[in-house]
Amino acid sequence: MTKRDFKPKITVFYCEHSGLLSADMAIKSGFVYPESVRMIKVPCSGKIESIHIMRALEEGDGVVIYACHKEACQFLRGNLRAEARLAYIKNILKEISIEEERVQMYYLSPSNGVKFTRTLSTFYEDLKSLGPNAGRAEE
Amino acid sequence: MIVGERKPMQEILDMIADHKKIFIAGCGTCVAVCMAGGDKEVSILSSAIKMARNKENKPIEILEQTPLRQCEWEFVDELKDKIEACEAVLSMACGIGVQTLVERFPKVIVYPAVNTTFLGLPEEQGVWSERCGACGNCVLDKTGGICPIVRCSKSLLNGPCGGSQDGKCEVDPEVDCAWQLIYDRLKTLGKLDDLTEILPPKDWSTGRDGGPRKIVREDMKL
Ligand code: SF4
Ligand code: SF4
Repeated sequence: MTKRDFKPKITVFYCEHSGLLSADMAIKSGFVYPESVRMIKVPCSGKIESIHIMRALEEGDGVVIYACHKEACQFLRGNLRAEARLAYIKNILKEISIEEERVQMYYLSPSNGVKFTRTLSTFYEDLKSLGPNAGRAEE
Repeated sequence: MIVGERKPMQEILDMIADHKKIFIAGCGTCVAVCMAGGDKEVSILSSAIKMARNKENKPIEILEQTPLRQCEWEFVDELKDKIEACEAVLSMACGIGVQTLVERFPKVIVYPAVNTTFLGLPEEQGVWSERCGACGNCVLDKTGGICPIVRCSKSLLNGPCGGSQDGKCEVDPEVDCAWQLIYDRLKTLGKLDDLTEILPPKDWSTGRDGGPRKIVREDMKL
């Protein structure tokens, strides 16, 4: 497979208080998800456990988390927990020599379709340049 | 409880480098509470190992299970089928759990994935600290309930030493001076006079210096 043909398989975990509304706005403005992107809605980014990120990476090429801005979490500290878990996962990835850039987190206000489109498109292109996740299981 | 932490990934990967099918056994008690070897940590380790091995083009099959405790025969017996189906076991329990498996399944290779670190408590979520060195002859009655053996960096029985500064230990300014804590606590209890009693040199034969320890209760035997 050449880099041009490679379609990164991405799991997007998005908080329903920010990411969901932003994703809706992005779609209404004409954004089309690449087909290899899987969207998973969560009630709060703090609900995403480390194992969810690991499993998504085990069967894909990248993981994105969309959370509410700091100090704007509906559950007060959910986004800070998600951030700390992501740092923990990045450490494990470093230990096993898998690129840390494969997991990213972005903070959004509700209805920021522009930022949603820009960050997801950039992440997709970055993963295309990075190539497939060497740790991913064979399909 | 027993507190531990996962070994570095490279050390774990080196141990299991020659195996194609392993069983990761967690423990649902102490190491689950200190978030080093409960079922969540087992799944995360399993996922990390699989990715590391896929990367090397040496995929590995992993079975997982977390018994309630890995230090009791009746709980490790539940693991028999999975142990027998694999080439080796990676234990995420403390060193006691590892040795329980070794004694129960003498022909099986068991590797430790966790460094057993100390006996302590969770001070708050995500923070654990040492409280007891299992010396075998507790002196907490003399020291206001604060252990001088593990909380004093020098295990002084009659402290503090000259390095105690502003309530902190000279070994590490982040660490409270145990003898300051003992003094403060005895003062609160109105028992400062207790400090005039000089504790004699400790008989360490009840601790590690006396060799491996064992307790036998004839009244409890079946
Ligand atoms: S095996 Fe170790 S960690 Fe598990 S319950 Fe027993 S003492 Fe605690
Ligand atoms: S004095 Fe000995 S038994 Fe008592 S808490 Fe300290 S180390 Fe543990």
